[in-house]
Amino acid sequence: MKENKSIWFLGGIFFLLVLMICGCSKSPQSLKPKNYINWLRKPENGLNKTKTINDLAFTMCYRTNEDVVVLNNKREEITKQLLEQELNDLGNELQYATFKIARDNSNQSVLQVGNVSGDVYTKRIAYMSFDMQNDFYLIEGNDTLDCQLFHFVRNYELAPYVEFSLGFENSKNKIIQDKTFVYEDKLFNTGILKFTIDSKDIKQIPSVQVY
Amino acid sequence: MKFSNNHLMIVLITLVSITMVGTILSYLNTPKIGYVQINEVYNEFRLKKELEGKLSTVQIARKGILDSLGMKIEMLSRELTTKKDVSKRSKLDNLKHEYLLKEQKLAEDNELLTGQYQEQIWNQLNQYTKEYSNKHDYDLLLGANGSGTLLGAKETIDATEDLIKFVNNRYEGK
Repeated sequence: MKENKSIWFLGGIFFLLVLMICGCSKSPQSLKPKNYINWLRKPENGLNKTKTINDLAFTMCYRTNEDVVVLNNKREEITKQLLEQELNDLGNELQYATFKIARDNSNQSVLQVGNVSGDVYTKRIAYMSFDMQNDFYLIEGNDTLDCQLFHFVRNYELAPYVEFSLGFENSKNKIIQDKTFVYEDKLFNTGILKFTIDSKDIKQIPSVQVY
Repeated sequence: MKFSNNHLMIVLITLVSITMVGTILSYLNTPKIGYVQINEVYNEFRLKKELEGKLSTVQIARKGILDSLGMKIEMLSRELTTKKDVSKRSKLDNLKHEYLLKEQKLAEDNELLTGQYQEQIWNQLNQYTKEYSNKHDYDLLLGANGSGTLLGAKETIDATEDLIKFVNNRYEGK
């Protein structure tokens, strides 16, 4: 009887251990397109980093080529053939990210920070449309990579944030390394803003479920 | 009624338990206080070091502009000691005037840029210090800057080194 109890006790501990190990497993193997997009944007997965300075929240989100394809397609499911075709079309020259500036405690537009005059407002729009591209770069190992693709996603102040799509040169080094995205702020006097994406977080990105 | 050993043991255990609970409660209720050497944190902050480098590059470039203008003035002055040339004299006066104006303008620009960089450093440093204080659940985190606001404190509550590591990690976006 006593032996039986011990076996049950040990069995219980083993079961709990299995549960804990399963619970700790870091990332799923593959995800449906919608879940894949959401997974990349969850801060706990390490690919979406935010810094808040002077009530402004700056967010940099690393995007995979799969994310670009899946988001462009806007489909619940994607075929293997279509995904491969679109990835091929997209090429391998660039690596992507989105950068967002939002106000932390206000619904007012980011463009209006500091209650600026019309002239300053226009200058801000012009800077965000063109010159801002030169203030982004990506550091990977010993390489400093330029921002080669830049797009200011206009929302005409319908949202309390501004968003930018970025494309950086791909490093010649094929080994996955930490990626430090840098933005040298010229608008809000917050200085150099860095966002580091850990290589171990990049390695654990799941794949897109295809059918 | 007899007071047995068992009773004595129960009383002792109860007393020890009460003391332990009391100690834990008092520990939990004690406000967490710490201090940091602000100047040290500021000097070791990576953004400060990077902006210092940038500022020095800009200042050297600006000094180069002034130096080349100074050289022109020097050469023209030498020529004028040997020859009396009215047009050159007027050119020299103009150059001297330009030099003075440029010197003043560049000094102002340097001051403006220094102020701008200092603001950027403090904007980030204040934010990261706030995050550090919240993360470590400080009730009070004092900044000692040698001006007499903090007259004495035990080294055990000195969080300077820890804060330096934290702010530099946050600056690197980790």
